[in-house]
Amino acid sequence: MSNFPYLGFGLGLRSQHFPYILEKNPEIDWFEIISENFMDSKGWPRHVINRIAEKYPVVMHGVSMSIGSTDPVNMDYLKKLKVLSKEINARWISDHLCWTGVLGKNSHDLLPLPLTEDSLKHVVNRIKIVQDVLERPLVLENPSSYLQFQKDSFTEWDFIREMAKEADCRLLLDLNNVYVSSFNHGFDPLEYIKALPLEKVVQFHLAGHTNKGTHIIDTHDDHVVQPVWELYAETIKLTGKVSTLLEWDANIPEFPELRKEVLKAKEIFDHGNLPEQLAPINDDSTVSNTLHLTQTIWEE
Amino acid sequence: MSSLKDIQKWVHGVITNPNSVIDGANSAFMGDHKASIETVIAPSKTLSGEQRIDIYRSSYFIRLIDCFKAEYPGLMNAFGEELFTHLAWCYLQEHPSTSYTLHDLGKKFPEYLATTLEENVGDRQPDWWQVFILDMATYERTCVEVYSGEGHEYIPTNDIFGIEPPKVSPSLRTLKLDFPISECIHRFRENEDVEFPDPKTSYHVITRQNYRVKVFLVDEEEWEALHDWIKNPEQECPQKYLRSWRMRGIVYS
Repeated sequence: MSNFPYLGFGLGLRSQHFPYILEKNPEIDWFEIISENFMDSKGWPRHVINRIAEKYPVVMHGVSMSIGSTDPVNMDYLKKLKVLSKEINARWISDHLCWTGVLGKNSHDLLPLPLTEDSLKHVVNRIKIVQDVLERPLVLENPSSYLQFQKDSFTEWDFIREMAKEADCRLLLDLNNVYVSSFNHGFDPLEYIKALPLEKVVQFHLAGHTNKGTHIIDTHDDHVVQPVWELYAETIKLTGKVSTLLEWDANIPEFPELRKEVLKAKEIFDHGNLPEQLAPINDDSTVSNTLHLTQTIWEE
Repeated sequence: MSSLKDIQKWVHGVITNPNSVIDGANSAFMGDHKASIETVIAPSKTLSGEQRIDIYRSSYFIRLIDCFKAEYPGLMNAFGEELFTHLAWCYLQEHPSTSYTLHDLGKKFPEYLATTLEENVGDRQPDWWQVFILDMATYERTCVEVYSGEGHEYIPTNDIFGIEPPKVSPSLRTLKLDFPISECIHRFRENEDVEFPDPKTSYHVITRQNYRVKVFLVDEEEWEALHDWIKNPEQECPQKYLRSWRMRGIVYS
């Protein structure tokens, strides 16, 4: 696993925090970027990520690879991804086990795949193509999902285990997503985690969500909830140290508060202390996986 | 037996249907036949298959319309949020995203508004407020493109003040508009005092310096001089303007 160094406790880089980070050089182990917010930029975001990458390890996390789509693999997209990864010395490149569109149309959502033999073969084949182009193992994240297909013949954890084995890719284990999907589909989140090939897990994601009572939406707009911290505490007993990252994409707080949130994971890892339970900030969000354009700087 | 492609086409059709997932299932095909939601999507203990797939459908429109609001904040306040949302919703149906990047999503929105207006007014002249709306849409999109596109920041410092002939900045865009949008855009973006201004032919020069979008209003004479020079860059840059154009990031040398 030497190509996947342990990075410590990091944060998802968001454009609101660019000025703070550039000015203060805050103490944080590493950053994860949304690849699509930087790969086409020829302006400020590209300049910023180059400056940040000089000082911090950076990992690229995409939302548009659409690894499960039946459309052809987008080679232009992969080439741009590769160029950026070299430019900023990205420690690894990740995306989601999902599809985002078909017939050339993009929903910009992380849509679930039917968990079937057909899907497994299809995804494994595409991961191999992507890994050949990128010349490195791809890291794939377990998605949060709100539906299951009647024709599913795998559990998600069995699907992911087979996929990782056959494609020899790595895994980004999003513990919030496991919890969200376990609530939405009625399974035991720890059973899911124990069934994964944990030696393939190179990164954890933590995030907040919105509980609508009948289902949970993966909104990334709040603190990590207590059951997810508990799941994290149980998971690290199985995995040991794994690079850990906090995502926060809506109602984004100031940088120091974000840092405080991810350091709760460090406190659990170092001392086994779970954080105090907090009341949710927001319970009316309905949009999952909020996607953000980088903010434009105006000076008319 | 449905293939993965059939299922993806069906799901995409259902979740992008503007009316409902039921309408989506009634119009989408699963291979060569129609399929009801309950035959494709399993229920959970708390939600039906229809409710579950509707989570994706409602997110689709909200998420993408939010992107329009971020890209066209002034335009949204000029229209009012309700009308703006409706137009973005209509646009999405005619121009669904075909790109991996959200930056391309609103690219044709000014053109779409112009076509819609043309269809609505027919042979009569559009009202001034309608012209203002089109100007604002064009202006906001242009600023976004200048922000993301090529600039001359990457040109080595030694070349910028060198003795080479001045060159046009790759970020430069010019807009001749019927309204002085740059003078009122801040008020519209902040949703303060959103009275439409009086029409006035306005020559906007948009460029980027140190990664910041800059907009200047110039007079007709300067506008003509700039355009003449852009068309004939082998000619000497007009000395009258060279200093100010360099200061404004319109040219570099």
